[in-house]
Amino acid sequence: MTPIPLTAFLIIAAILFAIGLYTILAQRTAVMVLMGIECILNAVGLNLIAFWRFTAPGDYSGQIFTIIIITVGAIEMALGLAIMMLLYRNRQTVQVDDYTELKG
Amino acid sequence: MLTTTIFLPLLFAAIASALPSRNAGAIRWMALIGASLTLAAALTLAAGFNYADHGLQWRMTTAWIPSINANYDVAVTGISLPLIVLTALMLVAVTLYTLRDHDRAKGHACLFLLMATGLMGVFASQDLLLFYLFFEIALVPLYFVIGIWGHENRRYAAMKFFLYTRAGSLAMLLAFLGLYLAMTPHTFSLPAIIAAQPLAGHATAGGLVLLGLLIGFGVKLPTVPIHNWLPDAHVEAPTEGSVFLAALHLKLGAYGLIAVLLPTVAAAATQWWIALVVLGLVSLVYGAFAALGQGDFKRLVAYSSINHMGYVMLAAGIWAATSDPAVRALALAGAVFQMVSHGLLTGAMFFIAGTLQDQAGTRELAAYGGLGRRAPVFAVLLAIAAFGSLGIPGLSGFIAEFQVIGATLAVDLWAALAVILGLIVTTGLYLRVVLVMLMRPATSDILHEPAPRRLAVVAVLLALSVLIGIAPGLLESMIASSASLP
Amino acid sequence: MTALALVPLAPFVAALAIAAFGKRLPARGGWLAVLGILIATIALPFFFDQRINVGIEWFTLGHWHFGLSLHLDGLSWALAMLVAWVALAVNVYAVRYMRPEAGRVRFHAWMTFFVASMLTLILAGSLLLLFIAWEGVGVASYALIAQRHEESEAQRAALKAFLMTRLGDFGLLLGWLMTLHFTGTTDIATLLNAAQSGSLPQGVPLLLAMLFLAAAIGKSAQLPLTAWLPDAMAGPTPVSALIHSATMVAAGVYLVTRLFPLFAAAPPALEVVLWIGGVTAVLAALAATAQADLKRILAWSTVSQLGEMFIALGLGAPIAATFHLITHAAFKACLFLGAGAVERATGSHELGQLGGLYRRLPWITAAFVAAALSLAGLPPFSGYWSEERILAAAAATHAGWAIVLLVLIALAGVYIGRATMATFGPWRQAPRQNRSYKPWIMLAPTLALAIAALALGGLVHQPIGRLLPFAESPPIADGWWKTGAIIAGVVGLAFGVWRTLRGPVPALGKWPGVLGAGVHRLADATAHAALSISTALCALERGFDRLAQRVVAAAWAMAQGTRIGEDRGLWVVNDGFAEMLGAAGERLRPLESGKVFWYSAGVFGWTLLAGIAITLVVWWL
Repeated sequence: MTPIPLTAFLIIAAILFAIGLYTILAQRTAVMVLMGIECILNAVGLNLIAFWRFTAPGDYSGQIFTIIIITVGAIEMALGLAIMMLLYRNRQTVQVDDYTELKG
Repeated sequence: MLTTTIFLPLLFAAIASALPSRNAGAIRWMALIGASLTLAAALTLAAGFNYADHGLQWRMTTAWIPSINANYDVAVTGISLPLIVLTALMLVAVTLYTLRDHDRAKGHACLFLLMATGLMGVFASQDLLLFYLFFEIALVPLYFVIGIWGHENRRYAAMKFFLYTRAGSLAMLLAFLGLYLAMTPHTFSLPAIIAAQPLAGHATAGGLVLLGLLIGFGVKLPTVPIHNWLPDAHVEAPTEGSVFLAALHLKLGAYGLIAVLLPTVAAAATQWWIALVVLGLVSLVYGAFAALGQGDFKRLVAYSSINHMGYVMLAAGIWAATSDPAVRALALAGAVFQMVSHGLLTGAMFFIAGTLQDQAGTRELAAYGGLGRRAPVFAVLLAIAAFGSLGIPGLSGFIAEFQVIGATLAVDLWAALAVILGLIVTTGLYLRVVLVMLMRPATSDILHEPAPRRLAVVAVLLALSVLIGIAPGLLESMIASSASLP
Repeated sequence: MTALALVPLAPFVAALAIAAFGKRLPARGGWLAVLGILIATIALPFFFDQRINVGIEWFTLGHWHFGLSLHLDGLSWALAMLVAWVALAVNVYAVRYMRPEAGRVRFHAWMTFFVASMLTLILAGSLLLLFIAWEGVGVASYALIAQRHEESEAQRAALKAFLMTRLGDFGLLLGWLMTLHFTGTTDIATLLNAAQSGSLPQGVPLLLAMLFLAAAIGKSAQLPLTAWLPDAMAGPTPVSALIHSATMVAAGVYLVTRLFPLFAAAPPALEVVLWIGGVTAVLAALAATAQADLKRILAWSTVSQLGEMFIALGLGAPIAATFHLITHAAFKACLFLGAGAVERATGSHELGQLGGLYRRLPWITAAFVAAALSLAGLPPFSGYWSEERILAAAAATHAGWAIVLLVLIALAGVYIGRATMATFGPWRQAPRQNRSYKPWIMLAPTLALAIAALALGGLVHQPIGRLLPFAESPPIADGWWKTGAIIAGVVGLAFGVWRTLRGPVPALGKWPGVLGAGVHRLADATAHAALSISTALCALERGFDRLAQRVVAAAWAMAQGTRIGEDRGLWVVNDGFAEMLGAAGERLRPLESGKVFWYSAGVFGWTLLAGIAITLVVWWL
């Protein structure tokens, strides 16, 4: 069986990234925006693990790095959802466009 | 012992902040105890002062940031010790004055205690980075004091004050870094820099460092044309804030000029002495004229502070202009005496001005007519402060001024005549104050005698001014033991 | 002999005690004031003919010694005696005089403080102590002129007096600082030794002398610092008697006398002293003849007489100057005390409202007349002897100055004759005149001073030359000058009296008829000219006032200008910078929309652009 080439991984990662980017820009609900962010993070993780596998499979630091990213992503997701819960409790909406406090 | 003195107010600020905010009385008393202990500690330092020793005393050194060779290094000289005692004294005076003020007492008391630590730290630091740190500790609380407890236009004044002094202290920091880099090995130690004179042979670098220090200390002094923040800050600050500002914060600039600028870049100062002298004279004359034109009492005293601090700048210039050690000693002694004297007299003057503003609700001189009849004791204190400020023998101002004028005379007669011009205008200015406030018939019956505690605070400050005016030897001998700088 | 310190300390302690407990003391401290001065008065004679130098080191700085010392020699002894005795008389008088007024505690405290400062000034052996006392008398003078501070006139006068004298004071300040610089001490004796031995650098004695002269001019109200003295008459009359005629204003003369060797070492300075004194004396005497207020006549007369003392100093005759200072103090204090009694009896010192007071105030009239004759320089009154000495000095150096002196004597006669006649003369009656006015507490000091004005000159004109530490000069002018002086005095007096009469009145006797029409016409023309000049000089006096006001106005305008510059100039520049930064921020504000979409689009868009740019750059390279 021929090994799957690096390019395939990269293409999948790019598609994943594009989906995430589109979600972030196009969606108005905070949950969807968070999911978009998660997609982007996973795209980055996929890129990392693919490059590790194809360039330096003997060194495990790439793998560790990816695991850290996944952990950080989970924590981030948890924090993001918690913040959203609080926001919802205060304002009864999770539409990001309703939160314009940062307007200068 | 010195470290104890410096950090005692900080300790009591911590204790006071642990007390419940509702109990304002307890917080004020705690602050008063802290202030009194600080004064006692400062007086212990003075009692242990060795007049025969011309070097640093009560020195304490510990490594602070070893990687950049910055140390915690404090010590006193005959120049800084009077200022430390003055700081402790003013802290007691202010705490006593505000003993019954219950408006957010905790923050108020803690900020003043914190400021005292910063001020004493500046006067004691022998390490430039430490000096800068304490300088900022002294600076920031005052911003809050003006901004929170000030009068109508306080935000504007606080912002102006902060921006000016920040810009000044950044210039100062750059100059400090210049000195640091010029030393091999790199060090911030003030005695080491003074001993090595690293910039003696570098005209450009020396000039730039001089400029940085001059801006840094000139803003705080303040000297014309970077004095603009002072009148606003004074006018808007609460009474005790303007007292601290006039009596102590201006001394940061004056002390830096005498104890940091002159010894570290002596060569550049000697090269540019004419600039220092001109700045001093311009401040002197300009301050006097600007004060004469004011109808606002606090603004008037603020401008006359510019006039009084001009003497310090002038003395620094004279020090640089001459190489005669006797003239140098006279100029420095006059400058230090002026710092202490101005602290006492103008401190008292701002207590008076602030009390009047609180009573009458206005700062217009014309509104204070008839004070002599409505509040005779207060009026007498005001008259003493006014005559002291215009340099009548018997009060400390005279001693300070004649020493600076005497040193100036030894260098240039015309410069001395310019000082005299300032003095004449100051005379007219304070006579006008006395005339309007004491002799005119009363315009309203708002004015009344303030609380005896507050009268006593003012009276003690003036009594001290009279004491060192009659027996200047008490202070002179201390200054003289350090006045022979390199 | 530290007991000498008792002399100024006794009144000083009394002043403090009055300030503290005055309200509970008899006469609001007036008698305690007298007691304090009495101690000084009694102590002083014990020091007769002694040379004392006591002092303490106030503080030292490097090789500079700031010493405070007292120095007693013939000169300071004589003047201290004078000050103490005149002060005693005036203070006794003031106890009664001040009874109807408010603020008596303040008055007595300042008055005693003044005496203490004045005695210190005279006995000072170091310039530093002299300066301190010099400022002390200035402050006391300020406070006492402002005694009736409800009157705006008194406020203005006090301000003017303090400012104008302080202008001169700074000459003294610079002078002693310069002395310190060149000799290392502020000791007067050291300075004088250095000046005499010529060890001071070239030009320094002249500079020092000019600086000290500035101080003397200010205190003694010489030109151009004259305007304050006539205004100072707004103070109570005892103040005018003690401070603004007899003692403080003479301090300028005393300063030059004390430092005479220094002035002698700088001949141009003496020349300046001479001319300033001469011009002032003549102008002031002319101005005095045109005044309508008794106290103002006396004030201008004081300026003129001080000018005469300056002339004497300028001619190199310090003994004559000191002698005239002493006799002048006696008769002028007496005149003022008389004027004070008139004021209390009638409520006015405007000449227009006085007249015929000889009936109500016989003793005061006698005293006033004695002092007036002394001022006019008639023998055997005191003024005669001292004017003779000045005249002798002038005749010995330059006849021109002797003639000036004769004119001055005649003018003195004119104005004092006019003042005396208009006040006490028998032909015009004051509106209320029945009640006789004889408070003995006020009469006794006036009479005592009148006796001094009568006899003092004759008694001391011989011994004074030996007492003072200066080279002896001839005490009496030679024949012609002497006769001329007496004639000038008589003519002046007679003319003054005659002008007041406006017509022949028997009281003058027969001499106008005997002298005849020729003399009459000549004198008339001269006097007319003199009187019209002096009327014109009244405008000049206003001119002095206006000059002073002009200077204040200019200073005020300058201060206003500075303030405006401050408000419009620096303010605008500084605030303008801050506003510019603020406006820039305002422009950028819309960028911060608060929409997450725009922020994220911005981030990704920027990253994309940056990526493209980097790629292009790498590719191009």
